Order: sequence, then C-alpha cells, then structure tokens
Amino acid sequence: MFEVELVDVVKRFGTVTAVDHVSLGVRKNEFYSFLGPSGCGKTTTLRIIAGLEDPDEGTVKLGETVANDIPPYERNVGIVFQHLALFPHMNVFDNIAFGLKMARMAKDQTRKKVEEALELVGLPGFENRRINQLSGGQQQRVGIARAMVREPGVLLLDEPLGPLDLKIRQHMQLELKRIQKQVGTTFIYVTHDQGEALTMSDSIAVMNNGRVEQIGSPREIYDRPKTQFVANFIGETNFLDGTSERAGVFMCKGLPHPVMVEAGEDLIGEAVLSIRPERVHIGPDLRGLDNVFDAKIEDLVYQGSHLAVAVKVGENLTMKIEANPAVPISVGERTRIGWSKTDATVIKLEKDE
Amino acid sequence: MNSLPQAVRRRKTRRFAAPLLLSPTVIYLAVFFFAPFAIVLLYAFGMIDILRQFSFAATFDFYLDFFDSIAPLVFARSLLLALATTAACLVLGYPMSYHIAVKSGRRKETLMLLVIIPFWVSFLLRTYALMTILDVNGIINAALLSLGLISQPLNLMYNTQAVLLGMIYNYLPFMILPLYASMEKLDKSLLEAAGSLGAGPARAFLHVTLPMTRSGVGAGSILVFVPAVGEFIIPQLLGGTESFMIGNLIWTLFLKARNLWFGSAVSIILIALVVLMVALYMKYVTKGEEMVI
Repeated sequence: MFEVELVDVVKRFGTVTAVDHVSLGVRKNEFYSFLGPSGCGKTTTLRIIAGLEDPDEGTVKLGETVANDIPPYERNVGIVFQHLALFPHMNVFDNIAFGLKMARMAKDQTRKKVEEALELVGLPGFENRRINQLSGGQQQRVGIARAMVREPGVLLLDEPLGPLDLKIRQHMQLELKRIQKQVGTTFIYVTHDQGEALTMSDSIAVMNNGRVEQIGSPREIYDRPKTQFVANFIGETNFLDGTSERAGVFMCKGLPHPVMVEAGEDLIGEAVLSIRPERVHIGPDLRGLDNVFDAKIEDLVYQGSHLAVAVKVGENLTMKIEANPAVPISVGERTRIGWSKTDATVIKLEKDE
Repeated sequence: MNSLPQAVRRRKTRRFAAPLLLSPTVIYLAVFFFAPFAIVLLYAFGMIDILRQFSFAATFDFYLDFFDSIAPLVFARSLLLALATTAACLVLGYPMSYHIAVKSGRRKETLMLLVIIPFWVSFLLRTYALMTILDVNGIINAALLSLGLISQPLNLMYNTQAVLLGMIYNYLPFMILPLYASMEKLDKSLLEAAGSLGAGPARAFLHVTLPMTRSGVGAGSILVFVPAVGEFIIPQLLGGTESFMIGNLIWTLFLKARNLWFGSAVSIILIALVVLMVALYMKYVTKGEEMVI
C-alpha cells in the first residue's frame, strides 16, 4: 500500500521526453528523495505528483485513488517550491494562513494553527514580519510552515535548500528531518545533491535522462549501485573493466590475478567493478582482506579528514584511494593495497543504445 | 590602493554629471511648465488685473463665481465621464492584458504591437477616423441602412455616448500597458503555490493575481483618469452641448469669453481636484505600493 504511486508515467515536452516510463511507490511517513543531475526529470516527476503537469501516459495514484484528473487544489498535497513562491504582498501570518483560509477554517483556530506551525519551524513570534524582511533561511522555514500547516498527506519539496549557504543548508537538512519525524508526514524531496539525499532519505530514486536508474535505501544506493551512472553520481568510485568469469570471480583487465567478488551467476559476462576509494586499505598490514595487490604511490594530497592517494596497480591501472592521514606513506613508495570482497560491486555493462 | 584615487575621481565626476545631465530638462520645464503655471496661478487669484499690472492683493472672488456658474455641473459631468472611461478601460483592459501577458506565449509581441500601433497615428486623426465611422453618413449607418435594419440613419454622434466611446478607444492602451507590465512580472509559481494550498482558479485570482497586479491597476487608472477628466478634443469633436467638459469650459473661458481670471481659477480647481483624487486613490486603492508605469 503506497501513499503515492506512479505507474509507467511518461511526460513529453515537444520532442524531449522529460519523464520516461517512471514507476515508483512512496510509503506512508517515508522520506523519499528523487536524486539526479539537472534535467533528469526529477522536478517534472514531482510536478506530476502535485498535479501541476499532466502526464502523457501512465497513472498517478494518491493512496487508493487514481489522481490523474484531480486538479492540484483538490489533491491534499503540499509543495515547498524551489524559489519558495511566498506571497510577497502578505506578511508571514497571512502566507501561512492562506491554506487554512482556503479551507475556510475559523479565525481563532487559524491563529492557533499558524502559531503552532511557526513554533514547529523555529520562528515563533514572526507573524507580522514582511517576507522581504526575512533572511533566505527564514523564508525557507515560512515556505515549509505554509505547506505543512494544512497537514497535507504528502509534502513535496523541490530543492528547497538550493539557494542557501552551505552551513545553513546543513542545519536545515537536520531541521527538515526533525520536522518530518515530528509530524510524520510523507516527504518527497527533489535534489541534485547526493550528500543531502544520503543524509535525509529513507529511500532514494536515482534518476537520469528521465528514467529511474535505481531505487533503494541510501546504503543500498551507495554500497550496491546497480548502474555505472549511480555508482558515479553518488560519491567517488573506481571503475575496473573486466569480465565476471563465474559466480564470485571477476577477471580484471590489467590485474595479475582474479578478484574475489560477491556476485551471482546473473552477472556473468563483461562488466565493471566499482570500488569506493575509502573502502580500499593501504599499507603493509592487510590481513583478512580478500583482494590484495602490489601498488606504487603516484600522488598524495592531504585533505584534512583523509589523504587522497593515487596508486598504480598491476599493468598501468590507476586507482583513487582515501587513506587515513596517519598512514606513513610517501610518493614513489612501493606498497600494497587491498579490499574486502563485500566492499566492491560488480555492475553489468550497459548496452549502448 | 589603486582603486582609491579612482573612486575619488569617480565621485567628483558624478557630482558634476548629475546637474549637467538634468539641466536641459530643468530649463525646459522651468520655461514651458513652471512659468506658465505660475502665470495661471497669478490670474486665478486676481493678482494680475485687466491692465496687465501686478498686485499683491490676492482675491478669492473667482472661486465664489464658480458656484454660481455652470462650472459645478460641468465638473460633475467630467468626473463622471472620466470615471466611466477609467472603469470601462479597466474592465476591457484587464482580461486583455492578462491574456497577452500570461496566456499568449509566442504571440505576445505581436499582440502588444497591435495594442501600440494606434499610437503611431496622431490622437486627432484617430478621433477624426472615429467620426467617419459614427457619422450620419458613416460606415455604421451605411451598413445598417443597406441591410435594411433601419430606415433612418441613427444619431451616433454629438452625444455623451460618442464621447465615452472616443475616450475609451483612445485611452485603452494607457490602461493595458501598465497592467501588462505588472502581469508580466507576476511569478506564475505563486499561482501554483496558491493552487497547492487549496485555492481553485477563481480564488487564486482573487487572492494572488488581483492584489499582485494592484500596482498596474493603480498606474493604469491614473494614466487614464487624469487626462480623461481634462479631455478637450474628444468632446469638442464627438460631443454635443450635453457633453461639454471641463476642458471645453476652460477653452471657452480663455479663448471665447477672454475671461482669463475665471478660466485660470477653473484650471486651478481642476488641478487641485485631480491631485486630491489621485492622492486618495493611492492611499486607499494602491496602498502606497510602487507603481509600474
């Protein structure tokens, strides 16, 4: 039972297919993110759920009901817009009260609800401020309060933290998460920031070129990417070309001996191996790791929390590694690297179309 | 360090640039607007007598005359006609501007051009053109007669309706342009936001579009009302005695009756009235919001 469900949804703008057969389901009280680069169709998908765009094909379901023909103002779906779209001719109170006024709520109850909403977003007493007197972060909170106060079943957020500074953004990420937990509303969150998606989401749908590449928990998406795009878009990774010989064995081009992997029969054939830089260990003591290779250190960059290391492995294969800064290594040094077989993922090669 | 002397130099240039750039305008206004206006003021308070001599004894006699003349009636009529013109332009212009600014997409430029094209022809010519349509032998009468719908030509001209028609026709673009500007600026995501908050199209219009375009309504109304209330050519050409307006009254007083004093007094009353009405309008309708003109 999904709170929001898309079945085979297609949206075209002229000759461009913005949303290409997207199917997904969002559970009640879930924090669900659409993650992808700009132009991947994530915002269009969100707008289809909101009813601001009509899908050309497919079904949009809100709970049990097919919502394709329900206008936005009857959908019980709240939206926090990317550029906020706060009403500049109203003060904070009137902005937040707008939805309640449309629902013809009594005055004293409206006042109470607005007060609660401002409390929730951490802006108590801001009722009479004008919108242009607020900072970006405060406007953001008003936008959230305005959408939340009607207690919609689903709250859609379209990159709401995009215009904010890094520090405020990180703070607001935690705030949003807190608000979502506190009120228990289903959140659908659009972002191109993988860090944001990993931090906040229960589920992530990674989108590219109008299609959903992978759906999963942040851990699944990060640790078990299903496509090269997903592995590459989320975090850093090393791709090693090769062939999956049989279950558990991967022959890497340019490596002297086979690599042990966790992969079933279904992945046999040409494939790539994706290994996260921080999962590769470096140094003389590599006991207990499944795959160990001789390596030569090519480059070292100190980056505070870690050392960015480039090593040469086998015949001319370069790998990126994030090492502990305490590891005593220097450029030109011969050493060994290794990783556990559970830390690498075999990805079937995508057929070129 | 390098930028400091440069900044000083820039500030110096700026100090001289502003008066230099403004002086032609200031001189022009001083000679052709403020000076004649001052003369009118002197006449209106009787400070120039029949022998063209100045005196410092101001008199308010002309304002007492005002209420004994036909002037109050003419004023009332002018105000009514100007208000009717403004209201009609608003009712016609608002949906038109909305359509052009919000709904017309790529045809926007073409449609705006069509609104502006009449400006390429002189105001006087446009009004004469209207006469050829409304005249006893004009296009409308000719068409209706040949279709057999009427047996006698209709009297479409030299009455108040003709004046109103002429004013609406001539002033409509002044309403559309500021309305269009305010609607063009309207962020469509505000309407989407209103929709997502449960406002259907009608209520979104009422609570968002209308208040957001108030500045355009204000600017357009003033641009139409102010010249309309002092309109002179249109009632002169299209109107009869029953549509005699303030402009015609002033014209008659100055050029026919040669009563410069009373003519000036009427002019001053008109100006005071317009300023008062605009001030009230800005206070209560546009609420001091910035106006787009």
